[in-house]
Amino acid sequence: MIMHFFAMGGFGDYIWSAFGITALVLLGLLLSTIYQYKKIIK
Amino acid sequence: MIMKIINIKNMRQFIHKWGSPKYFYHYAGRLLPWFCIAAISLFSYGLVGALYLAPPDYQQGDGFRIIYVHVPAAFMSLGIYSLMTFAAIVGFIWKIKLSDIIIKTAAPLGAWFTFLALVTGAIWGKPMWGTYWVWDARLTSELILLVIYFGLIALREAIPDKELAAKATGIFTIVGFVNIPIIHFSVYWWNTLHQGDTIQVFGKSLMAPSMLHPLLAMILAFIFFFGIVLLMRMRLEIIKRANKTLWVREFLQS
Repeated sequence: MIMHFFAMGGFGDYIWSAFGITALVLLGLLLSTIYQYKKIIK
Repeated sequence: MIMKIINIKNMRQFIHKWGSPKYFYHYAGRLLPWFCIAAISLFSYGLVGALYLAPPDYQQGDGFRIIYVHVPAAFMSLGIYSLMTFAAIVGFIWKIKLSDIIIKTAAPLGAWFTFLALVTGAIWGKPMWGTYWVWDARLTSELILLVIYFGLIALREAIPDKELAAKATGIFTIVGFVNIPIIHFSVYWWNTLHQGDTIQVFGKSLMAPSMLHPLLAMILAFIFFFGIVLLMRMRLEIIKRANKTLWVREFLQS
């Protein structure tokens, strides 16, 4: 069941890498901004 | 005649009030929690819809699900540039400081979304077209957009005089806007591998509701996410630029 979900009908590699890279970039943007915030407020 | 209708004086007051960094700083701070709530709820629904609720496409199977990150990223790459152009024009007409703060902070974000649109598009292209990249109209014009974003960032860095840098970047932003309609209409003007628009603002979208709703949610989620990061970075930039003014000093000490 779980394996079936992650396999994505054989497109798993493509889908998870596309979603993964997007998540990585968005998280990076958010965390770098929060980091700068904390540095300046101090 | 027109002056009477829009009431230029009130309009100018309105824009200067909103364009004043201090006023903006305050209201951006009050908007941020609401943007966070919107982004979290839209991402939750959007992701479940994208990866689970939406049925596989009849042609592309589960491979079509890349649309849920690709289209929002591409939408943002064009939307952010349009916002910057709008800010540049408003900045030139009403001479407000906030315009340049928007252009400066939005440019790297626009570049990252363009990067995402290109990369997720390449990953989608491999199983569907059999290649990561083709030099076709849509892909090439989107790549040019990335180069323009880099150019804007580099131009600002290259000019030491802040006022001059703001002016030059503003002009460059407006000139670079010609690429935006080219990207949008490229799939109709030229023969291309890239498919046409799936979502129609006017008229019927070419997608079943179970597929369309998560996509709209993801686009809105990306907009609010961009809003959060942009507002935070604009507030940081305001503090950096107004470091010596009284209200910022008082704020930092409190």
